[in-house]
Amino acid sequence: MMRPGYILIVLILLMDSCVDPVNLPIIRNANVMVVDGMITNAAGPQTVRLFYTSALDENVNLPAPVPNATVTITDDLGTVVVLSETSEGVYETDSGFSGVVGRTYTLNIQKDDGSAYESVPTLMKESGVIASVYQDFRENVLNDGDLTKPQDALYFYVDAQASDQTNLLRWRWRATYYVRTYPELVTRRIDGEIVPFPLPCSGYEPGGDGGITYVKPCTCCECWPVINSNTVAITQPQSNTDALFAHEYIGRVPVDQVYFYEKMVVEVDQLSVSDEVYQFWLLTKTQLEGAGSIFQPNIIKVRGNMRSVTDNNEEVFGVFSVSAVTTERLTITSQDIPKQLFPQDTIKSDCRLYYKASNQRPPFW
Amino acid sequence: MTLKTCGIVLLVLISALSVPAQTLQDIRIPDLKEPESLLSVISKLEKHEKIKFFFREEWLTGFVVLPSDSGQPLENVLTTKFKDTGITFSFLYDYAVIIISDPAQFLEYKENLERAIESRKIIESRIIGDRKKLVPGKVLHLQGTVRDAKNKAPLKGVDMIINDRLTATTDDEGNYSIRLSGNEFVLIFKLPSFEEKFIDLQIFESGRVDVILEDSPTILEEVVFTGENLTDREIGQVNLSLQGVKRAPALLGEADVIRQIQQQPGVTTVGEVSNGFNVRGGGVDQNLVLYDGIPIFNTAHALGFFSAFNAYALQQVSFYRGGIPAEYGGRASSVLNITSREGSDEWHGNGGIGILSSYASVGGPLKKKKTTLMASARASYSDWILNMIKSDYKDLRHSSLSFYDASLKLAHNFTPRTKLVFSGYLSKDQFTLSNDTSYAYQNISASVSVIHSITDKLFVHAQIGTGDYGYSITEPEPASAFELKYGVTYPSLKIDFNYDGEHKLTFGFHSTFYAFKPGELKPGSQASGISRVAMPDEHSIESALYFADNFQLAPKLSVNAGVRLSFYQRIGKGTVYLYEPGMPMETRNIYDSVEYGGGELMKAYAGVEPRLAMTYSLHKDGALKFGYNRMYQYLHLITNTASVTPVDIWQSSNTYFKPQIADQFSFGYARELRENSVEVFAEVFYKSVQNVLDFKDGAKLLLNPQLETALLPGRATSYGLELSAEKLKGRLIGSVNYTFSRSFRKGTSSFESENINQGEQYPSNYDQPHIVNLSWRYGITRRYFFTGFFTYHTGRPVSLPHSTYSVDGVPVLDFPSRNNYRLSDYHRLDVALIIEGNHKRKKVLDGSWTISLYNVYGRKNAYSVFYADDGRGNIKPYKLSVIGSIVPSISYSFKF
Repeated sequence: MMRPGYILIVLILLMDSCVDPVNLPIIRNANVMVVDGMITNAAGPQTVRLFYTSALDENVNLPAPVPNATVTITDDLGTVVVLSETSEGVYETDSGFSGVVGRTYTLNIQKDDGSAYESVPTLMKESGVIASVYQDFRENVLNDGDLTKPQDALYFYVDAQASDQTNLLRWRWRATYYVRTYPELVTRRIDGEIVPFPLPCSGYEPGGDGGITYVKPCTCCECWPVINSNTVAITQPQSNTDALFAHEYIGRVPVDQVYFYEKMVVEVDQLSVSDEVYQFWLLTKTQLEGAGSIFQPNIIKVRGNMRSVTDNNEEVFGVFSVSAVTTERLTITSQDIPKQLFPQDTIKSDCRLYYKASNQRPPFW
Repeated sequence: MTLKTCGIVLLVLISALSVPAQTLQDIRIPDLKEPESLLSVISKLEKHEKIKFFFREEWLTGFVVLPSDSGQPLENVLTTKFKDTGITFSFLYDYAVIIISDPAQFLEYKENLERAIESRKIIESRIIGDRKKLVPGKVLHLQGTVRDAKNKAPLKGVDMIINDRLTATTDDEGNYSIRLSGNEFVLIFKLPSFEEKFIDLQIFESGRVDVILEDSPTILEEVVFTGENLTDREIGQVNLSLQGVKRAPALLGEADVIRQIQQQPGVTTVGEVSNGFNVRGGGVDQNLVLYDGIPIFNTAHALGFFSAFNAYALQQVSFYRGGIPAEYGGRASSVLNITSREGSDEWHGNGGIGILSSYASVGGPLKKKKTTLMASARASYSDWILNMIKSDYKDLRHSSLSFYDASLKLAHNFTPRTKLVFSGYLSKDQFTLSNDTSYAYQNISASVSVIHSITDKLFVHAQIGTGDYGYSITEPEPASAFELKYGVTYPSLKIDFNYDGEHKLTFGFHSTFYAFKPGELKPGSQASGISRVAMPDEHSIESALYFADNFQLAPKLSVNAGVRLSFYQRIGKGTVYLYEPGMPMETRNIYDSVEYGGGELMKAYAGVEPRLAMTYSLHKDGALKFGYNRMYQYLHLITNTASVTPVDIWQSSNTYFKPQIADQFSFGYARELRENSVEVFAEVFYKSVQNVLDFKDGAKLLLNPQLETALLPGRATSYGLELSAEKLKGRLIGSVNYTFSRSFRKGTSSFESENINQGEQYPSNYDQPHIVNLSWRYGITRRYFFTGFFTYHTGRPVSLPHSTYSVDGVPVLDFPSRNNYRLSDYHRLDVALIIEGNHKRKKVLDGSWTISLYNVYGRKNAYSVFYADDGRGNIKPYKLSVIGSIVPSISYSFKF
């Protein structure tokens, strides 16, 4: 809605203001349990992640998991589904299980120390339709002239319509692209001499005419990295139910040549959300956008829809989202980028490690 | 006035070198039969002794040597004769006597005279006695009587200022009597509501100067403490020198009244882009800012970078931070009373050109001695600056930030006793961003006043006025286009009486009607997905009766005691939502609502506000002061940001929001040093405010018809010590002050879950314990001034998160409590060089240049600290500095 950030930019340039990293006192982590769970009407498995908050100097993507908990989802008909722990702190239903619009679901968690938590019972509402997903190329919007980093970006938009059940929607997306690496070209220096040292996953072994010999297919040459949306895109609170949403900005990716060697596929989910979950995202959005703004709200305490059953005073963060989902795909190729992209670099590495990506070809590729 | 040239002196020295040594101390006055002039004695000595005198004849005219001095050593006789005359002498090389006249006194006289001429004062010349009959060094007596031109009644309490120093005050019979040493003086006779009288006095023997003072054309506006001594002022009062404001270094050369207020002891601000100021731990909304008697809600231009008042269009600025008189009410912390300039009896104008804005003002008589006009306008042209910035960011090149303000004052004297004044003021701000949201806000005030003197001692000032404040936010993007509007209009009526006698009485009646439009959101286009949301209008009436008496309770004890009775009514139409008793005030706990019709009384409050200020004179130059005031504030500013933004809302009291009630005690000691040229004071204060509204975590403040669910009443307390020293006169003037103060908030509810910071007291956004301000102005020459300002304050409290987590790929921060850390300390130095035009009296245009450097050492003072994902999953702290470098500027101003 309002974008104070732009005002900030104006003032920055007018007054030569600036944003700098700063050192602050080491702050103690509160170690509160966080729930990141969702049930949708799409194919399972439905996943609930349980972990602890991270300290500010820790990587937020690698939190300490909460293992050995008992996690169940109950619907208003009394059906109880038990989730099993597939990896530490990750609890999943069978892949055949999915939610049904019109049912109300509640998440229950019991940790191995006996403490128990539950979500607000939440009705799954229709998610409406996505009319179209499209992108807009914008030049020189990133990294403020630091030419070692991408300067341009692709902005993603949706045109959508809410259902007559709710106007509270959230959009998220996953952008998948393709990368090719050359792990067979890895070399090593032995006694001052450079000799071939192909990685085992390349399918090559040292020896032969070119110094290496093909033995089996490469398992680490082709990868499909994914960029997840990390901004909050939600409908405006004052919008109508049944509303048409046109040109809703849902996020952007930097234009990096590596994304467009082949193509980029953006899958956009339109999720219906409950009042409580909508509030959670609204506050999170305000918190994210307020950061660095001169209108930064003094404090934003983000509340979720989970609570402790065993201890009223214990905090628990995060949400259990009950959402119907509508998905649309957008394919972008280098033809869509009105700028010359450079040819691919020859990366001599395991693509899974280099790009932190999966070597599994996605079904839609 | 120079000594004989060095060349001659040297020649004499060389020729005398061969003379055998004889000490000057041995030389004695020759035998005299009768008194002889010193000049003739000197020539005798030069004839008979090996001695040479260097002097100018006019210095020694009038000095007489008596027969009784015969045989005395020359040294002793000269020492006695020259005592207190400004003439000194010294011996050199055993034969030379150098006589020097100290030019300081004469220069001071000349400077004062020039200054009076420059300010176009009418100056009367008086010569007493004959220069030839002058007896040097003789202390002269000057006496006289000051009378009122109208009825020839003697005037008591007239200040007599000699060469810039308050020297005497007339007694009950209007008489004064002083002793003077020296011969040339500029005398100024001053009494509030009378025209100042300037006299260029040349005095060679004792005598009388009788003076007649005429009524000032501005009957009432001057009846404030202009030029009062610190020890006579009531506690917590300051009058800003507008000349000082204009000469202070300013951001981008914009002379700024609010910034000067921010430099007063006990006043803080949360940062550069903060709208307004915080007084003694109070909120920005607790300051009553009056422009010609009408409250102004938003005092900022460009988000607070500049104040909305053009310093050049103002007559007087008075600031009260404690001991607030009964005539002011409606805000809890302070009063800033701004009076605009009135046209004079001759046409004059001034103007200025700065980097950011330009202004012009012109004033003069429409009809001589009857009607005057004063108009001024200021406008920014910062679009030009924005567009000059080379940026690849397309949006920016089409952005704009602009503001303007204008004022008009018309005064008409029907009779010498009755005057009608119209005053109008308008300020407007706008940010427009290409393809993006634009913000606009404006203040308007207009008033008509009748000022009438019923008798010579009783005056009435009746004013009908209105004010308006509003803002709008516009989003043009068709799919989400909207316009959000907020506004308040407040017509008012004021009748004030002043009685001037043994008891100076003030009493009157004020009433203001508020019509709030608390918010309307409209779709901005056909295609917009926004639905219309309109908050119902709210109406209320705030009235007050007040009475105060300023009198001398005992010879040394003056008292200003008063009381203000305030009344407040919230009237329909409107809806009051009823919440389940025993449940938190949340939307889901509403069980019913009550509708009120138009004009129906929904809620009423009343308050008794006692006010007291006492001054006890300890001795001639020192005084103890005490102040107490209780203030009711019926309007609340609702904000969840540290500084005030253009989108904050003013909420009037209602069933759930009780009026804020402030109690403040202050106690101080003031002293004047060095003939009133240095003022020092120390004050301590304690302030407690009830019913201060604080937002609940994550509260929705805009367009919330159940705003009571988002806010929690709390208590604010603050206390502190203020120390200040100010040098008012001389080539170097300046001030230094230090404030120690704390400011806390506490928000408790009967429901634990609603408590702010677990119900614990926590520091407010503007709790800055240590503040040091230093400012100076140094006259390099009479036209060049070097001015500067240094400020230091403890960093303001901020809320920092303790931990972080990510949900569905989005990072979230957890803030455990409010204001749990502090920003790093703030300090900044600004300097300016001011070059004023030459001081010739007759010239067409009198221009001056101001070259200023803001933030001289380019400190990146933190405005806020925030956390952001560095793109690799690590949440890193960053600080935002609004001004991150030195900001130079140059501006030109002129007057005619």
